[in-house]
Amino acid sequence: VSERAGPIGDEDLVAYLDGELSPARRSLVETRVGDDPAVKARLAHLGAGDRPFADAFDAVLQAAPSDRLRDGLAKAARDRGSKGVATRWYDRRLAAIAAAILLFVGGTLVGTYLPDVVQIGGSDVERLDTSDGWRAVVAEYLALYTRDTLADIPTDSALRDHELAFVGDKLSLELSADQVALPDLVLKRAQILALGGKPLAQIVYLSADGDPVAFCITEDRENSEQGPTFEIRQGKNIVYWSKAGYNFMLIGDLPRPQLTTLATSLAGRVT
Amino acid sequence: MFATGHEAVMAGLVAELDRLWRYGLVLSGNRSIAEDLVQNTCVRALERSHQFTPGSRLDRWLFSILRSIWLNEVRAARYRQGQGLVDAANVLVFDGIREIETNIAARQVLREVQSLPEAQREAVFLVYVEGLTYREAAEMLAVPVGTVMSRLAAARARLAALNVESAKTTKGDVS
Repeated sequence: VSERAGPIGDEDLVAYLDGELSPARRSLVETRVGDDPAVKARLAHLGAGDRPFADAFDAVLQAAPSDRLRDGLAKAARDRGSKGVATRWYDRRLAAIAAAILLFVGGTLVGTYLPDVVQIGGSDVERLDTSDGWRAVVAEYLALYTRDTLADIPTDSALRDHELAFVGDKLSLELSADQVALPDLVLKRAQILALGGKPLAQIVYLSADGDPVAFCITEDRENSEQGPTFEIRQGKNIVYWSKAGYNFMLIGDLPRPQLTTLATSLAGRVT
Repeated sequence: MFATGHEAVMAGLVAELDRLWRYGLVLSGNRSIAEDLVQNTCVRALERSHQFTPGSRLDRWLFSILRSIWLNEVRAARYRQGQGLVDAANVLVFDGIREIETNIAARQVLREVQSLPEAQREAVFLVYVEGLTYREAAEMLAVPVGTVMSRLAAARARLAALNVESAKTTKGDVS
């Protein structure tokens, strides 16, 4: 790691043993070790300062109070959740994920299962797999939005086109500004979120009154077709429908008749 | 894999708890303090999860948080309370290893590492146990790479010297 000139010190010799020297410095050390018996002896001495560190410390890992540490994590998540609505959704999911992992891995902790983590069992996670579970999560998420959330996103049709193309690509769905345009609503952003390990498209608008409205799509190869249906979650009006491998929902503070009209219009254009 | 830092932290944190505890134990030499450090690290990580970059090393990020809590809060408080630090002069404070079931050789290694001065011990742990490169360790410790090199060199020299002492003791026993 070092290009310093000058005498070979313990630092160089240990770095040499650790394979951390630059090629140039390494050959310098090798030359000196070959030429100078004192340096060679010093290298051997420092080499004897090695230990099976990793093996020894494995035992420490085995002694970790795993259960209590996980309880502590769950408590941290709960405490944080009780501090305000702004974190609730995340933390419930965290607690669910933590619980799911506890069920799944038992006593052993490994890193490699992480990509599947949100698909492992656990109450909140199972909820995502049901056809209406995703709507609950989206409603909770949108409940965090205020009028200010989207306020300073500039109107930029080129950027929106780009976002829609990206989002559409992730869901293997054709999406254009024309297809998702809604009367009296301003398109503010299209983005990909993740839900249960699957992509979730979120296309958000601002209503004439300045309230956020979201059009969300998830892929669901096993769904059955369903026409637009109205419901209320988290105080938000929702119209949802399913079609040809996708679940859709339109959610916001719009009156039911207006929301239903808009949803029906979208259902005809986005397939 | 994860769209946001928050998701990555949520999903990954639980898998890092034991290693965080071990790092806390190496720093503090005390099992309860190590547990508190992990607990506080969880709280801090959840608060700051939006600062985590998905795709970067979560374990390193968490280690940094734990280390900063140790340095700025726990250790500082112990100083204030006049309890001083766990250091080479007080090896037995590392009560953790007494309860760890392992073979004699491993126990000997743990004892030797724990007898190193704190800065050397931490460098040894990060590089030789956790597998950080010199450069990564320097970043974690916020010191130049040369400082990591000299700490490791000093640690190796000290451990090598322990071999010599131990050999003398053995010889003495025999004669």
